Amino acid sequence: MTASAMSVSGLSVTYGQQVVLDGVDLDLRPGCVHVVMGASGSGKTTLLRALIGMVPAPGRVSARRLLLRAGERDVDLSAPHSSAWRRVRGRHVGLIAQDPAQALTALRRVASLVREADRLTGGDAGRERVEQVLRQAGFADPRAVASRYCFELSGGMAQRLGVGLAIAPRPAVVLADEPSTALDGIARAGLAATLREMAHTGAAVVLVTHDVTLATGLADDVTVLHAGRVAEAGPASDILAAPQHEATRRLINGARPRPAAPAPHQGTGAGALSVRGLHKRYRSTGLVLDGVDLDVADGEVVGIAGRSGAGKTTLLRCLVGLERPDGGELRIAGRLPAEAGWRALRRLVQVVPQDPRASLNPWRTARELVADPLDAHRIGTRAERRTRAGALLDRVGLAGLGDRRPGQLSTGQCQRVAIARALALRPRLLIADEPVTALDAPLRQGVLDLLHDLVAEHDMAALVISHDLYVLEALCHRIAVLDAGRIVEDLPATALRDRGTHPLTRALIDCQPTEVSMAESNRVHGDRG
Amino acid sequence: MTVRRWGAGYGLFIAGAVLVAVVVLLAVAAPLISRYDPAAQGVGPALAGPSDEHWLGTDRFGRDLAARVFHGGRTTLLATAAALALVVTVGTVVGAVVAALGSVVDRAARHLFDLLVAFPVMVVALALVGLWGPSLGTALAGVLIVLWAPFARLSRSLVRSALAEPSAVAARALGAGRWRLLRYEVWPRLRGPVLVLAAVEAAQLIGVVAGLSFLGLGAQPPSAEWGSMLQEGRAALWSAPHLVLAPGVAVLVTVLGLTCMAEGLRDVLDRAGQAVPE
Amino acid sequence: MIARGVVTAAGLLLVASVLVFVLVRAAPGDAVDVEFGESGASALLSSEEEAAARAQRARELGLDRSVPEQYVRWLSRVVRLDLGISFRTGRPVADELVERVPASAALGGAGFLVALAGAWLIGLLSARRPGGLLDHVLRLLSLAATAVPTFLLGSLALRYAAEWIGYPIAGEASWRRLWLPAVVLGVGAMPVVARLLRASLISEYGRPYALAARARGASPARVTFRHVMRPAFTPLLTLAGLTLASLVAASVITEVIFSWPGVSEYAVAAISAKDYPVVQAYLLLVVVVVVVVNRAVDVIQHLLDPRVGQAAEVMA
Repeated sequence: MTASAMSVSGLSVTYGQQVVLDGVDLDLRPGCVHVVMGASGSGKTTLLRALIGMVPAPGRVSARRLLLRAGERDVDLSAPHSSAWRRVRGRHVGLIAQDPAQALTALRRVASLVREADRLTGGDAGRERVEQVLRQAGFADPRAVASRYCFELSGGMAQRLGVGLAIAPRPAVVLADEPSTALDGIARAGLAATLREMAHTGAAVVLVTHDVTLATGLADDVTVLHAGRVAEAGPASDILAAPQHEATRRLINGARPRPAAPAPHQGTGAGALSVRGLHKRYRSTGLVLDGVDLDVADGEVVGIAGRSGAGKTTLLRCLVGLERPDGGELRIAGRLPAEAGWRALRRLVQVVPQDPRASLNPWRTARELVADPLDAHRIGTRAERRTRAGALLDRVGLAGLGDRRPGQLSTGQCQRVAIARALALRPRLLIADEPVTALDAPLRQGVLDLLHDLVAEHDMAALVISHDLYVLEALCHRIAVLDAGRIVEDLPATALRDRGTHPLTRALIDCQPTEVSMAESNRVHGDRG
Repeated sequence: MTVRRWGAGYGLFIAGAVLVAVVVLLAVAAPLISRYDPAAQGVGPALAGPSDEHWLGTDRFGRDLAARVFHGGRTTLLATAAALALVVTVGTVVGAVVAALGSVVDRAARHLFDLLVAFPVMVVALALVGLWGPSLGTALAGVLIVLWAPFARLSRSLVRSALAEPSAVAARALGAGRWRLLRYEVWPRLRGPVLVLAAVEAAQLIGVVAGLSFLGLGAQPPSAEWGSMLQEGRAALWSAPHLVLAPGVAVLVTVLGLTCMAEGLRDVLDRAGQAVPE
Repeated sequence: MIARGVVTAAGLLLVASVLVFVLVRAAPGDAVDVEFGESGASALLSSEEEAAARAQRARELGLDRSVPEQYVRWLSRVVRLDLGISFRTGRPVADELVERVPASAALGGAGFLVALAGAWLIGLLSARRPGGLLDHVLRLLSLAATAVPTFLLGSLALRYAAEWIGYPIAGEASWRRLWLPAVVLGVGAMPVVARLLRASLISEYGRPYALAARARGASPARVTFRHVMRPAFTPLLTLAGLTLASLVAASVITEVIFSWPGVSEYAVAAISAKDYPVVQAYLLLVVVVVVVVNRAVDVIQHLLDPRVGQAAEVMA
């Protein structure tokens, strides 16, 4: 039997009264990839920091046992603030940052960083060694790279160097933080391959993620964290195939598509919205909308799919009058903004914005926020507006929370407030901008169901904007794909997977399932910092 | 959670506010608590040190220093408060209007604000006094010429960023008009930082005006004003340092109070994730 | 890059010159009043003669022309450093000012160095453990330093330094006399710089690259000096421009208290004597220094952090 590379038991981390990790056990075997999963806030990032002795300042770490294999012997690191950490860090435990390119000191030269890292881990830091490290990191011409400043490296090069620096000393344990959404698909694949290779050469690899697909592809062992405790742990094949704990099931199910899309809508025409040849150009980024044509019939739900930068946000801003298009025609309920005036039209079009927390004024209560559109358009008496706001809050499942402010609500609850607010005026067209991107996977389904039911109840038309096909398929009758400012595909949702031919459509279908949202990973770090 | 956010910063703010309140109270109550007329000469021996009879000692003309410090606060504080109210209002409004107008006006104004902010208040006040002749009013006018600019700059940038906040954009999309945006989106984001800056600039104002008077270019003797007392004391620095010390400490305590208020408030805002002025 | 800095500086100076001109023009009494009032010439003339002489002089000075025209003439004289004759000494103001610039520059520079050194130490120590005991103590000290008025600190320092260690209270500008006013100046400017450096260090410590350096085994000292220090210092430069304003302001008081033969001391003496040309020249000098230093800081910032420069080139 092989000895553990690292063996942890009873690991706890507290911030004052708050317990972030509570008695975590972990056994890392050499040559295996160990995936730690959990929703955001489950403590997985803190666990990673504890495994390299870098829990941020006010946090207190305690462990019954924390043994690390360092060469021939085991080092005991269980004493709090152990000074032994500095001797093993880098050399015996390595950390691959969330975005490895960010792990470089921008204003220093590549060679200087490599030399420093090598000397810190007991190397001789000679010229040959520097070239060797760079070559191993995948640089064909190490000398050319060595003299550059780190900020001069391209994103891909910086990433390779960041990873290379971490694994060059061949640490017994390699920790990898959730690969961030800053990495595109290819970079993520590259990172996965590197981790696999590290395991092959005998390292114990720990990968923290909530991406089920990534876990499935890599993991030998899986540990699922829930609220700072180990929910379940064991071989990956068992856990992912037959999850026992509720938290694991939610993680896995949250990533699965909702099977059936609604059948095509019966109504036709452009009752709610009609867009013809919409153009928009920015001085800085050039043409963003390049002749968009789009119709939404009354009661119809249409999805707009597209990558970031395709023009989705600009289109939305044009549709609600926050941006003036440079050309083309826009009719809402058959009326031109120039004639009817945006103030009147905004009663007909309401938006559920992208980032629910940021889009709610933090100084106002949920009830005030929901009543806000009614106040702004002076509809009904004050008392009537309050009553209506209360009823809407009840309807979205926030009964009794009307007096709370956004800071006292969860992100999911904030999104429900935003939805209630958008419904207050009974709009003819509802626009939802990435309605669930900011939410954790387990919460998404609830919000999608709510949106689906509300649109049907109010019999309004809706336009859903998302980069995630599954979201659109869950809600929409019809899906239009936007690429480089044009609609390149427009099909019934049920037919998209079979009949979609445009390369981008295929790419969107293939590169599912869900990505980790940027907003979310930022939030996790923000909370700790 | 909310309680923790108001941690040390809130305490510092309160401590500062208490200091300022004490100073203001002493100034307001000066006629009641002083045992002597601040202008009466020869109520005690000339240049005497602190004693039971004269808490802070007496000056060259045998006037009671304590009475003069208390009464002196009235002029200094009142002038400062009035000047501050003026620059805060003018600066904030100008900045907001400029931000609302946008485009060329906005860019040109930004450069003007930057120039004025970088310019030493003291020097402008000095120049004005040089051209108009020394008086408290002239010194204050010199300060006012430049001191509105920091507020304009702050309010310009805050209004711009507040209008770009997702919640403001959402409110616009929902149909909120200009006044609703100003009331609910801009004002809450503006008031804290402006208050911080007001405390900082109030401290600066008091310092500059007292400094000018110390040089003999602000308030003129024999009026009981901290600055003019400083100027009189300066002549006797070697024989009777308490003449400088008494009004000097009064200035110090006031400025310290204002600085603590600014610093504490800055902490509170910082923790609430709001913009903090330098 | 440097060319752009020069152009902006020139533009700002032009705007500033208009402001100064307006200020000087708006002062009570025009140049003729000043000359006749101060030189005592009017006593020798009858009232008609004086009126004629005044009109004559006003024409010579161009005061009968339109205001913009006057501004242009005024500016052309200013640019040629023709700043008039001091009433008190009868010498050209420009010469007198130039003689005093080195002393002021030495004091300002030394004060800035004191401020920077102190702030650097305070920043480093307090950023080590934000919220720790040392951090709190240093913060309270900084608050106190901000609150002490320059004139109080200056006069007391002078008095007791002279009494206890025989500091020379008057005399030429010399190294022996420089250090005390420099410390007085520096202490006032220190807290603002220290606060910025502390905040900047703390934020850099939390960046991924600093964490990665630690994870590679770097000691806290190495992380501080080899990784974090340079980026943390860059924002400090912006502040250098603003610190200049407070240094200039404080140097007015300091120079007078310590009888330091600098520009500000000269200006204060001139103001008391209603020596208008000197006041105007002093204002102009400070304007030029403020604008030039602020622009220079901008340029240096680009040189120090090449990323900013590259971004600017891409934009251009």
